[in-house]
Amino acid sequence: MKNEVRQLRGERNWSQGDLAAELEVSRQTVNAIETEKYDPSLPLAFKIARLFGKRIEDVFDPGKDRKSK
Amino acid sequence: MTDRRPNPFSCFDRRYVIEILPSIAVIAIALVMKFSLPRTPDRRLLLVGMSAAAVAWAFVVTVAAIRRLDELQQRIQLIAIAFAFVATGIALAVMSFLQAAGVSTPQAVYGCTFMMVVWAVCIFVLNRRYR
Repeated sequence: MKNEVRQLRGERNWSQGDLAAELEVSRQTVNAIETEKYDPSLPLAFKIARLFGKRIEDVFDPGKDRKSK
Repeated sequence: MTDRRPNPFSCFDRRYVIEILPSIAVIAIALVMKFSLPRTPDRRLLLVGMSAAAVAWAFVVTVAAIRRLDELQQRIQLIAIAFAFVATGIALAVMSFLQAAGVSTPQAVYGCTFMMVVWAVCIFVLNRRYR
């Protein structure tokens, strides 16, 4: 799933470790989300969106191919 | 759990080792008692009880360690355990067919070791994938 996590994190000058600590997950999880290797659970996606002060759909985009499924 | 170390087996951290030590100690004591003391029905029952309690505690501690992981690590554990379970089932089925055909095969008791090896390899591979 496409997401804006890396960009949003960069705007705040946070490291992956900083974001991981805020979200109470491992740095590996943050990296996997940013590189779109892993889609977070709904609670974690909401947590990310709230942390950045955005709506969940502003941070995560399932893409056209996912919508049709 | 917040764990920044790139350790594929991070669920087995210092806390886990400390928590599982009593199980290992009890099993070691039970083994020493088994081989050093004369066997009586009461003592045999005590040894079985001690071993069962130690294994139950190890199970609880292991599940708790996995529950402390974050969602990606839990997913990795789930995939690895499922894969190891299926691979072991297939291996045991193949072994039983070979035994029926008269071919010499390893004892089924090694299935547990095989499962652990497959699990460890899966954890390693999956951690590389999500690194």
